Amino acid sequence: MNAIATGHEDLIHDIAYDHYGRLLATCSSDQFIKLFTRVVPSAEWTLLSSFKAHDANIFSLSFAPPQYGLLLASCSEDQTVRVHSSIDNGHTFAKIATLSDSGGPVHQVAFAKFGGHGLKLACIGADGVVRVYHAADPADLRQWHLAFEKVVDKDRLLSTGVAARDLQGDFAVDWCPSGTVRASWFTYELGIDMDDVELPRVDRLTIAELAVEQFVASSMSKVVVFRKRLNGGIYEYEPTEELPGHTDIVRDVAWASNASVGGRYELIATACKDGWVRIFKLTTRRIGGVRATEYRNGGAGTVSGNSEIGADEDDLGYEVELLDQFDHHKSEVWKVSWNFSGTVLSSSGDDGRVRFWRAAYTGKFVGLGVASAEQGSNDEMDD
Amino acid sequence: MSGAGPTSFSPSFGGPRPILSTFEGPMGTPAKESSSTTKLFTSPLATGRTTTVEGIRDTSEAEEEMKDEDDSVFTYTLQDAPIAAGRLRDWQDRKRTLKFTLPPLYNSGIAWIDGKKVDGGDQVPIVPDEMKIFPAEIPDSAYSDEYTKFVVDSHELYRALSDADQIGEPMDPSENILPKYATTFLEILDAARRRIFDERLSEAYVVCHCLFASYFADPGIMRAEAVMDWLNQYDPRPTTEETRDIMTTPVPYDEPGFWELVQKLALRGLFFQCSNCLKEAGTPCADPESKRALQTATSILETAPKGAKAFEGHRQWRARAIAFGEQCTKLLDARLRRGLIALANILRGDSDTILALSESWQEGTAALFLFHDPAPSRLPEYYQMAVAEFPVDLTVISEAGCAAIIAGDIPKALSVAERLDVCVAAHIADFCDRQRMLDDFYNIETLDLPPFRDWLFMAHAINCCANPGTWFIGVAYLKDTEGTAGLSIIRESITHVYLDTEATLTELLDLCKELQFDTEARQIVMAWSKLQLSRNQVGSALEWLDSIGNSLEIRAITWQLLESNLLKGLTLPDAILQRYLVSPHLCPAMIREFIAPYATYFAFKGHLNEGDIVEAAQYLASLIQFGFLPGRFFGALLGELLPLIDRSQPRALPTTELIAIMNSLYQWEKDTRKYTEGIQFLAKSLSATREAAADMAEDDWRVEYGNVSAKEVIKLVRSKLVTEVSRAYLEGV
Repeated sequence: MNAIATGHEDLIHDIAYDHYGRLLATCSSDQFIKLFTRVVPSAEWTLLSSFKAHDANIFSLSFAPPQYGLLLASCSEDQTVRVHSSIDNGHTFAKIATLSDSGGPVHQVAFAKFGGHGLKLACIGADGVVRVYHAADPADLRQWHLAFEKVVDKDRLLSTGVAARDLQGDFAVDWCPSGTVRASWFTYELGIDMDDVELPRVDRLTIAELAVEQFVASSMSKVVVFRKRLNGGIYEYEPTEELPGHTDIVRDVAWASNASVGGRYELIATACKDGWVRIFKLTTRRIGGVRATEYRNGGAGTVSGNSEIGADEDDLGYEVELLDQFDHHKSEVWKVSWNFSGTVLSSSGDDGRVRFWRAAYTGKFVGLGVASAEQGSNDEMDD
Repeated sequence: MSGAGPTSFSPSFGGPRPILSTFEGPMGTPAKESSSTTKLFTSPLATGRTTTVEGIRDTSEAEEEMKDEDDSVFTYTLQDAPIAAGRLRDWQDRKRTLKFTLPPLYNSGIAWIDGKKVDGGDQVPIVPDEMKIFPAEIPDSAYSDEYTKFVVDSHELYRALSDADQIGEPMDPSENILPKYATTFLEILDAARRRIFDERLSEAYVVCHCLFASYFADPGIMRAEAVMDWLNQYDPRPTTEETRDIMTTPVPYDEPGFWELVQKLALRGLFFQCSNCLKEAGTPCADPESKRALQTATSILETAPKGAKAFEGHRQWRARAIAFGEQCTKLLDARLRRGLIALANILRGDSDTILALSESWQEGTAALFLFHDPAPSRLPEYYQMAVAEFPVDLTVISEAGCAAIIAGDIPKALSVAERLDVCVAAHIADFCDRQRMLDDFYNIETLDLPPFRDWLFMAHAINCCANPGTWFIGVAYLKDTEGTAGLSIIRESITHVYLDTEATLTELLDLCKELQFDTEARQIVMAWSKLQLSRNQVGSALEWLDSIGNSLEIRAITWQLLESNLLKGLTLPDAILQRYLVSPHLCPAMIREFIAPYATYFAFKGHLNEGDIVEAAQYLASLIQFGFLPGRFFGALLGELLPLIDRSQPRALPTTELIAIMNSLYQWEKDTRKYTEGIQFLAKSLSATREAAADMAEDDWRVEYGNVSAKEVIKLVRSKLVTEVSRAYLEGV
C-alpha cells in the first residue's frame, strides 16, 4: 500500500487506532489532529476530519473503548490532556474536557483498554508524574476527576528540580490490556490453584470477572508497574514492581495481551535509548508460600524485591524476568507495539527499520522480519 | 534364494564405494527408537532421537544464530520508502527516527517519521515525506484473496475431517480415513500454490507432500512408491529433455549417456519407461544370452510389484533381480554386461550401487526404500545412509523439513513447516496428531506448554483473526484447542470485530452466549448501541441496552434526547422510538421508566402543535415539577411555559398548578448549582436560536425571546406566573 500524505504541516508525533482499527488519528507539531478512515474493501486510508486540538505540539493520542462512544484523548506540550468526542462517526469532534494538572508538557496519554468501573485515562508528562483520571459516570464524560498521581522516578526529580523539559519522549505509559489477567489474579486472591480446580474451561474464565487494573509507566530510565491493590479497605494504585536493567532513557513501553498464554503470565516490552528492545515476563508470584487467603487470615508473608516499591506486607506481586532482549537496531529504539494476542512485537528506531519478533513455541521470541524505510531493501538479507 | 534377504549384501556386486559400515547398527528399528544408530548422521536436524521442546527451541536458536551471523531475516521495503538507498546516515543526521504501531486486531500497521528534539540550534526543515504515513504489514501474515480461499477451503476440510474422525480412538488401519483427507488437503494446497505463485507456499507443499507420502499414503499403494512419487514430483529426473535427447537418436544404445538414462529411470522407479528404453534402444544382441538377459531385464521391470500387494511380492521380485544379476556376469559384451549388472544391482537394492548412482539424499533414500526393503520402519535408516553421502542443505527450508520427516522427527518437521506456512503446518500437525504421531512429544517438558498441534492452530487462528473475513474461522480453530489460551484469544479479539451489520452483532452475541463471555457481550452491545446512536437509531440503541439491563445508559440517553430537543427544537424520533412514545404499553419496563420525561415533553409538543393548549400545559407542568428533573433543564422548560401563560389567550393552567410551578421555581433558584447549570443551559438554548434562526420552527418559544438573556427569561416567567395566579383569582377559579 502506498504512503499517505496526511496533510499535516509539521512532524507527526503519534498515531492511534480506534478499537476496531477502522479509524486512524494522527497528531503533529502543527497542533492538529487528523482522522482517517479505512475504506472497505480497498483498505486504503482516506481523510475524514481535521481539527486544531491544542495550542502547542501534540505528542500522543488514544481512543477510548467503543462502549463510551467515539472518544479521543490527546496530550500536548501545552501541558494539557484534552478529551474530544464525536457523535457523527468522526466527521467532527468537540472538546469535552481539558485536564491541566501536569506541571509540564504531557508526553503520553492512554485510555484504559478494559471497560469496567467507568472510563480511566492515564497520562505522564515531563514533570515525571503519572496521573490517572476517572470519568465515573459514563453518561457524562465531561466530568473527570484526578484519581491518582505519583512521581515515577523520585530520584530524577530530586536531582533536576522539577522536570525534564529538555528531552522528548522520555516518559511513557501503557495499560495492561487483558481481560484474562483477571484469571490469574482472581484465582490467586482466592488462593486457588487453577490446575486443582475441576471446572469446564469456560467456567474458569467466567468466574474470573474481577478486573485488576494495572499499567506500566516509565520516566527516564525507570520503568514501574502500578497496580490497584486493596489497601486499608480501599482499592488504590500503587507502584508494585520495577522492570530493571535499562541503562539509558526508556522511550516507550507496551503491555501485551496475555491471551495466547492463557493468562499464565504478562509480557511488557520496552524501547530504550541504549539500543535494546527488552521483553519482560511477569509471573504471579507466591510470597513465602503463603497465599492470599492465608494473608487475610493473618498469615505472615513477606515480599521480596525493592524496598521502595511493593513494600506492603500483604502484597501479591509479580516475579519479573527479562525474557528476551535484542539490540538488532544498533541504535536508539523509540517505539514498541504488540499485536492483539501478544505473539508479535514490533520495534522501530533510528535505523529506519521496523523489526518484528514473534513468540516461538517455547515462549521465547525470535526474529520474524524487517520492514525498511530505506529504499532498495527488497528481499534482501538484512544488513 | 536363501540368504538374499534385505540385510544380505553380496560383495560380488560391489559398487564403487564400500559402505557396509552404514549397516552396522540394528536394522529395522523404528524411527523414534533409533537413537543408537545415528553415528553417521551428520545433519543437525537428524539427531536420531524423538524431538523435545529443547529440540524445537534449538531450531529457534539456530535461526537466531543464523540471524546474528548473516542476518538472514527477510527484509522488505516500505512502499514509497522515504530514505534514499544508502542515505540512512544522512537521514539520521537530520535527527529523525522511525516509529511504528500495530492496530488493535489486524496485521497491517502504520510507520511514520518523527523528529528527535534538537537541543538548541535551528530545527531541521521538514520535507514532504516526513508528513506522510507508511502502511506496513507483519511479514507473512496478510491474506490475499487467493490465500483466503485456501484458508477457507482448508478449514472446510478440517471440519469435515473432524466430523468424520473420532479423535483419540485407535483406528483400524483398514478404516483409516486420514489418507483420503490428506490427499484432498494436498490437492487444495497444490491448487493454492498454483494460484498464488508463492515460493514459501510451494516449499510448504513439498514438505506436506513428503509427510503425506511417508505417513499417510493411500492404502492402495506401497509407502515406498508414495515416497518415490513425491520425489519424482519434487525433483523430476531424468527430465523429459534428457530422455528425448537420447531416445530420439538413430541408435540410442550407442549414446554415451544411454546406460545412465536407463539406470536413472530404474532408480526413480519409472519401470515402464526404463523397459521401453531397453526395448527401443537398438541394443546389439549378438548372442542368445544377451537377448535373453535383455528380455529378463524388461520382464523384471514390467513386473515390479505395485499397489497394495506390492509389499508381499517384493521379496520374490528382488530375488529375481539378484538371479538376473548373476546371469548377467556371463555376458560377453562388456558394455552390455556392465550396464545390466548395474541395473540389476539397483533393482535388488544394493546400497552401494544406489548411493553411487544417486545425486541427492532424497534420491538415495527413496531408492533404498523402494528396492532394498520397503518396510516403513526402515525409512529413517535409509535416510541416515543417504545423508552420510549427501548432507542435507539446511539453507533450503523445505529440504530441512523433508529431512526431518524422513528421519522420523515429526515435531521438528512441523516446526520447520511453521516457518514456511503456519496454516499448512497446523493442518499437517492435525493429521499427525490424529494418527498419534505426536504422542511421544508430549512429556514432562511440555507440561507447561500447549500441545504442539494446538499451538500451531493457535498461531494460524491468530492470523485468521487478524485478517478481515476470516475471524470466524480463527475462532472455530481456537474453540478446538485445549486449555484456556484459545478461549482467551477469542475473548481478547471478539470486541474488536467491527459491528458492520446487525447480523454480525447477532453472530458475536451468539458466540458470547456459547462461551459464556458475559462481560464481552455487554461491551459489544454497548458499542453497538453507541453506533446506533451515531446513526440516529435511538430506539434500537435503547432496546439493545435494555437487553443487557443497562439502566444507567438508558437514563443518560433519554435525558440526552430531552436535552437535544430543548436545544434544537423537536426532532422526529425514529420508528422504534416513535412506537414507544405513541404506545407506551409496548415499551419494555425499564425503557418506559426512563423515557417518561422525554415522552412527556414529546406529548407536550404534540398537543401544542395540535393547538390543544390546556392539555399541552398539563404535560409541561408535570415535567417542570418532576422531582428528578436535572436542574440544567429547568430554565429551558420554564421558557417553554411562556407562550402558555400569556394573557392574550385563554388560561391553560389551574391555580394549583401555577402555585406548584412557582414553588418549584423557588426551590430551583435556592439550589445554587442547579440554578447555575439551568441558567447556562437556557443561555445555550437561546444562543442556539440566534445561530440557527432560519431552522427554528415558527411556534418555538425562542423565536420571540431569542434576544432576551437567560436571567431575564426567568424573571419574565416569574412575572407571568404571578399575573396568571392573579388572573385566576380575578376569574374566580
